[in-house]
Amino acid sequence: MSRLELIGPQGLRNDGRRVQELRKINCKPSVLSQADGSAYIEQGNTKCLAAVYGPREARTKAQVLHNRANINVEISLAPFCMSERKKRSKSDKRILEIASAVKQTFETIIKTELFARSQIDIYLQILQFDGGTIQICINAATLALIDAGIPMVDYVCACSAGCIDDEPVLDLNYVEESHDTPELTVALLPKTGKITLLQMESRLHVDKFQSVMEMATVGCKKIYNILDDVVRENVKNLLEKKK
Amino acid sequence: MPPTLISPSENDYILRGVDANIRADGRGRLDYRQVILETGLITQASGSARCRLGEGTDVLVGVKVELGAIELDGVEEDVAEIKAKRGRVICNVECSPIASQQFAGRGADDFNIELTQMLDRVLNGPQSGLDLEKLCIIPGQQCWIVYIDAIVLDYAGNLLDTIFMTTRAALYNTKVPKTIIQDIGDGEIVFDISDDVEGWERIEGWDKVPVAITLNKIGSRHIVDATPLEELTTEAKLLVTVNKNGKVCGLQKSGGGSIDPSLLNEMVQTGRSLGQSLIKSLDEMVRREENDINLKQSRRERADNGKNGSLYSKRHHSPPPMRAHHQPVMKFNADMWMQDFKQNVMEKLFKEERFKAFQKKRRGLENVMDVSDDEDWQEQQKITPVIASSQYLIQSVVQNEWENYQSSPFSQYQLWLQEQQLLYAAQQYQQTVITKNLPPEWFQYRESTNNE
Repeated sequence: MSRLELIGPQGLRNDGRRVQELRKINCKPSVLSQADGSAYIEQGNTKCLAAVYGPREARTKAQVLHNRANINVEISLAPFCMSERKKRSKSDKRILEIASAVKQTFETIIKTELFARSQIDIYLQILQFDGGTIQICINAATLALIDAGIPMVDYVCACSAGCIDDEPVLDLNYVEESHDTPELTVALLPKTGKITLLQMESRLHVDKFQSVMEMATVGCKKIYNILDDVVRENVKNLLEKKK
Repeated sequence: MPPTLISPSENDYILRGVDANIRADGRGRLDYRQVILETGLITQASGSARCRLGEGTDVLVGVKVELGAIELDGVEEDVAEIKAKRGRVICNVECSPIASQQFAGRGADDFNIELTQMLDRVLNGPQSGLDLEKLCIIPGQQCWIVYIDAIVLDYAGNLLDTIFMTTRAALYNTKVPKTIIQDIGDGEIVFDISDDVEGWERIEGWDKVPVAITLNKIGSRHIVDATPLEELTTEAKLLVTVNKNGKVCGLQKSGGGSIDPSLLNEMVQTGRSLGQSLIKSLDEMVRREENDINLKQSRRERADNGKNGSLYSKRHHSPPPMRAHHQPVMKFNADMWMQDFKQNVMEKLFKEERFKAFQKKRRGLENVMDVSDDEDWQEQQKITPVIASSQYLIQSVVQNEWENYQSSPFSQYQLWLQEQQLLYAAQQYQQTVITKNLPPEWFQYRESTNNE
């Protein structure tokens, strides 16, 4: 069986990127009218909308935490987001797993102790899917939380990196993901460099780990710069409008 | 989050506004918000469209065309015969929790099913206009299945109309692959899907797909394109689905209140005419967008029309558009409103005047004890059609009307107008008379001065 060549002879990948290149990121905060904070982000062909509601009174008594706010994450996938149509129920295990990963990431970063006995809802809607679900979910949620004005320790930026033919590769797309490439997803706080999330689902040689990890870290920093620019731009626009 | 409760004062404000034909956002009763329609945003779908109403309601529809088997299990024979030759349309509407807090968890399930059923009923019946037989590949075995998935991204009232509009545009955007059918003998047929993307075709009959107009009855009037607050004030809703020929394809009344038969007829007529003009402007929008893309392609520029499949490109979303790439579907017309208003005032004054005259007359005729003028007046109004059968009374009523009319401010105004005209005419006449009676020397003098 012939394997699809993921990196061409000129060192270009199947979507025309170089090894250490990110996909084009396009993002915009405050896109929805009803939510307290919202953001739209696309990385290449993966597109995601995030909405944040709260902090507000918890819906059920069981969810009340007496010393901090409860964070609730819900992810939904559009039926047409993959190449084949598939309707997913909200209790799909894969989606629930990602949701819990996102929840755990933000529990430590949001200053939840400021809002005891309340609830913060993060809703994510993936509109189009081309690899990198967790990373886009985290990036979108970060932007939406900033837009909602919820106090956080720092940005959280996530990025994936993999290893194809012994070469570390940044930001895998769906084709690369589905060819058994070891994929490492990292989420970190860009200012301190602390890692809050680390996930890998296939095997990778220990010797390679360092270089792949470094590549992912560089990717996260790049994403941080892009998000930061967008946030600053947005605030500037808001100020101008106020004048 | 859209409100779920409305205060009595807000309720009253909306009610009076609707009565005076001016709503909170400056629209008239039958004005739509600005519609922004975009197509081809989801590259993984066979066709897609997104529609925004004003800065609120936002619906994204993705259409996927996939191969599927024709299912004939457990179907009656005569139905199976028709089914064997047809493709299928499957609809699904989902309200995402990002649109509203109410849709979180399982909160939207009932609402989703309701919306899905409405869309399904219209698109799967013969009134949808879609040529399902063209979607059949091998009768009894293989067909194309058209999956229509709508996602509600933002909610600010009038959801159903938006879903229908977006679906129509998405179907326009959808291309079905061509199939090459081969008969290899023994009654076996195989088919191949053509690689030629340029040769892919639209689903036949997309243009006959109806749109829906929701009419909300508020007070004794009805409005279209209601905002969430107006939806809460609504007593009864009527959904009218109309196709481009102006044929009504479906009606559904919902909501707690009731609709008068006479008002119902009026509402259906309004829905019909509005739907037709809406379809016209929607078609123009999608065509214009396609022309733009074709033009760019022919100039070998980037074919994505500058938006690059992005849902919130700078071009469309920041800052809120002063003017999108088309005019509002229906515009608030100040002149028309003023005219309407004036007429209303005139009518009211006229009525009041008549009432006063009536009272005067009664006082003259009846004894002093009679103080219930008001009630009598209303009763008289009720009885009038009964008495009207008598010839004599009809005459007297007509005469009364005429007298009342003459004493009404309207006729006074008319009289005054006539008087003014006569006066003006008299002045004109006088002037001519004066010039005629001038001594001839005067004219001579003027001529001589001119000559010099």
